[in-house]
Amino acid sequence: MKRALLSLALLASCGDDGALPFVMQIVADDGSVAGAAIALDAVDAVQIVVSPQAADGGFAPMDPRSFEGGDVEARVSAVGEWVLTLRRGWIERNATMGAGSFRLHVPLQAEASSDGHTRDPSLRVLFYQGTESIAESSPRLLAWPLAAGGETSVTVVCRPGFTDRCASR
Amino acid sequence: MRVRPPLIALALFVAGLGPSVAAQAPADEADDLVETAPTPPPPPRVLPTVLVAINVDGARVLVDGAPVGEAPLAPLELEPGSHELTVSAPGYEASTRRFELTEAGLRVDVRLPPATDAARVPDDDPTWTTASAATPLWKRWWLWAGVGAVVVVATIVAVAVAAGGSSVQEGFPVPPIPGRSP
Repeated sequence: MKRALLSLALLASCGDDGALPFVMQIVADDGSVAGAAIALDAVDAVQIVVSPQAADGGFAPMDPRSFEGGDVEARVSAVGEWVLTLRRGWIERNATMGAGSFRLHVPLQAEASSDGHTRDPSLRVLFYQGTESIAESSPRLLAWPLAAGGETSVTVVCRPGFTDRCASR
Repeated sequence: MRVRPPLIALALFVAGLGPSVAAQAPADEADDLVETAPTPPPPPRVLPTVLVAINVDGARVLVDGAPVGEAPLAPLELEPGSHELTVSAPGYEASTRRFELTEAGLRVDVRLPPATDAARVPDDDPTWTTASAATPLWKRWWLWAGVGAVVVVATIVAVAVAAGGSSVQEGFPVPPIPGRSP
């Protein structure tokens, strides 16, 4: 019995395997890139979209999953893209304010490594106001598979014609 | 040492000289022969043994009133004849019996019955435990060990559910890209 209790205590203290997350730093442009700063209160949602290359098909199917009281949702779209949506509540809790802009620190955890033949997928980050995209990042490739403890930075700039909406609501 | 002629013949016969030599030797020469020949050592006397098997280890064993050891005993070498065996052990009734030991040896099985007082459970002795003197359930160690185990498991499950439900300390899960076969 004592041995069993000790094992349970050990299990409780261990938790998961403790792999470090891959961190995506999302930087809202302060106007130095596209000429219009993005205000925090102008953003209702942030969407991270990872699209596998056509030759690789799509992500493994998964049911939509919600986190942090529904402020975060992860899903795989019908075309095989992985989409992470960060809603306003999460954004306000996690935004780091800088000089004229804000940053978001988004931890990601690969559920399983790829087989090594997968090409790097493309990454886009979009800021939404209501249902409209007001800012987005330049398309770029995301090193795959995600490295535990790795980090990447993505700058999101205001879309042309949305300067006023990026400045405030 | 003076040996009579018939005994001389016997000694020679035993020594392997045979009856003819013994018969041809005069009495005086036979005297000299016997006196100078080495006397064979007498064969060691082998006593019969009695094996006393007792159902209680540590029981004291006396033979003819003399202690010979405690059970379990090695076989005892005794003179042939009648002996008295006494076996006693705390908590058991002593047993005394006589046995006749012959050259062939003997095995004696002794079964000590529990003493009447020992068999009875004293009411005022706290070292005795009986089924009728049941310990209350809440004093059982295994009950509290079980309660503790349930609490620990419940805590682990609660933490795991909470972690899987809302915490993002490990990061938001990203599924694999299976890829297509080359």
